[in-house]
Amino acid sequence: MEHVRWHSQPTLRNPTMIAAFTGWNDAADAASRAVRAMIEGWGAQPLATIDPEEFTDFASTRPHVRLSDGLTREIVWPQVSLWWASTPGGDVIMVLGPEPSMRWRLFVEQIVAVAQRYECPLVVTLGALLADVPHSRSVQVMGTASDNTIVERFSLERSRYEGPTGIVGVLQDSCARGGLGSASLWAATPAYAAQVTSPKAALALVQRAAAMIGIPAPTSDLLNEVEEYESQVDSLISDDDDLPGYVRRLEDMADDDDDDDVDDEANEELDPESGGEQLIEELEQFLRDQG
Amino acid sequence: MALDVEPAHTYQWIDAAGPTHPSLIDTRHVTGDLFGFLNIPMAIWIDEQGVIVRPAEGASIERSPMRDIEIPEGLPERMDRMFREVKSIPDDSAAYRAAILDWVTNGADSRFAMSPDEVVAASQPRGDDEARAAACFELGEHLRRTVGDDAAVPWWREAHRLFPANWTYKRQAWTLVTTPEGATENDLMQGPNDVYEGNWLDDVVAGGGGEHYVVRPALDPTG
Repeated sequence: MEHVRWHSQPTLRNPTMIAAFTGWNDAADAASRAVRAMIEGWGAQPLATIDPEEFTDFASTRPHVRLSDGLTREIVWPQVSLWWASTPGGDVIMVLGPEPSMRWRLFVEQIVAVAQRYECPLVVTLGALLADVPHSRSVQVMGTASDNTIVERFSLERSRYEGPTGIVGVLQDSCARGGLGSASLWAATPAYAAQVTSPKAALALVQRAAAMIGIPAPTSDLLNEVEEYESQVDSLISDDDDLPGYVRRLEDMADDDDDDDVDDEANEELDPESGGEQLIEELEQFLRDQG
Repeated sequence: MALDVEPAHTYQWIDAAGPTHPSLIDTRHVTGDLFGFLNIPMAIWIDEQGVIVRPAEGASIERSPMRDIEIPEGLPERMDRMFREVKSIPDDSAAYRAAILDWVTNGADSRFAMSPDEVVAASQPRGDDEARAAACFELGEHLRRTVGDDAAVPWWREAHRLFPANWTYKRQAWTLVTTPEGATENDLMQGPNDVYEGNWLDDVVAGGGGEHYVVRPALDPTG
C-alpha cells in the first residue's frame, strides 16, 4: 500500500467495497455518477487517496488549477479517492476516480490491499457500456461474477466475455487472485446519447448494488435528474432526421423483451410453442452453428 | 477445425464436443485460404491417400429448427428481415449427410467422390482480389496480435471489400467490435457498428439474400 495516502483509519465491520472509474468503463458517466450519488447520499467521509504520480499521464488527464481565497493558486490533481460510510445496512468503502493511464497491476494492488486490510467480503465494480437501447425504457443492468457462490447468491451470470478490458476487468481479476469475493454490474446506456450524462443508468446501478448488499439506496437526487435527462435526450433526437425512427425501433425491441419477461400471453402471440425469447435463442443458435 | 483469431473463443466448443482426435485452431485462416472455406460450416473430403475428393462446400448435417419456425407478426423491422433471410438459406443437410454415409460405405466408388479434375472444376474460383484479401486478413491478424485490435481494422476492412463473399473474415472482425464489455457471451447478431461498413443482415441482403449465403454442395453427380 505504498501509494495509499490515508486520511482516516476508521474501524469498519466487514465493509463492502464499491468501485467505479471514469473513462473507458464509464459510458455516459453512469458508473461514476452512481458512486458519487452513494458518497453524497450516505454522507461518506474521506478514507484515503491513491497517489496519482505513478499511475497518471498528466498530459492526457490534466490537473486543474484553482484559486483559493481568490489569490492563492492551488493544483488539484486527478486522483482516485476512497471514501467510507456506515449505513443502516452495513459499512461501505467507495472507490472513485479516473482510470489510471499506466502501471495497472501496481494500481489494483493498492485497491486490493485496502480491501484485504478491511476484510471486505465483497468488492462490487460498476461499469456502463454503450448499447442499442432506448433512453425511454428501463435500464438493463447485467451482473457477472466468476465465483459460483457469488453467482448463485446474487442471481448473477458467470462472465464469459473475451476481448479488450478496462481497469474494472483488471481489478476483478486481481480481487479473484487476492482471495476477495467480487462482482461486476454493468448498465447499458444508449449509444446515440453517449455524450449525455445518464442519471437514469446511474440510478439503476445504485439500486442494483444497494439491493445486493442490503443497504437502502440513496436515490432521491438521481430520481430528480431522470426527467431532465429524458427531456434532454428527447431534444437531441428531435434535432436529427434519422434518430427518431431508430429510437422507435429500439423501443419496439425493448417492449418486446419486456413482454417476453412479464407477459405470458404476449409470449403466446409471438410463438405459441416456445415463446419470444426462445425464438431469439433459436436464431442465435443458427448463427453460431451455421452462420 | 475452428477458424478463429482468438484460440480461447473455441475452447468451449471443443470441450463440449469432447473429440478423441486433435482439434485444429486456425488463427490465421490459412485453411480458408488453402481450401476455400468462406463460411461455417464448410468441409472438404480428403481420402486415405490424402487426395481431395470433394472441394469446399456447405456442410450442414442437421436441419436447424429455425427453418420451420413461423415468423411472428409485429417483430421489429430488422429482426423480421433477419428471420426471413435465415429461413431462405437453402438447406441441404439431409442430402449432405446421406452423401457422407455413402462415401464412408463405398469409399472411392461412392458416386459423391470426385476425380481430381472434377474437384478442380467444382472448386470456387480464386482471383487477384481474393488473394489480396487473404493477405490483408493475415496482416490484420498479425497486427492484432502484435499491436492491438485497432491496428487490425484497416486491413480487415480491406479484406472485406476485396472478398465480400468471405463470411469468415467478416464475422471474425464484427464479433470483436459488436460484443460489448461486460457481455456474458460474444455477440452473434452482429448488427450495424461504427468500425466496419458491413453487418450480418445488410451484407446478406447485399449479397443477394439468404439464398446466396452458402456454397451449396453439388450432390448431383450428373449435374
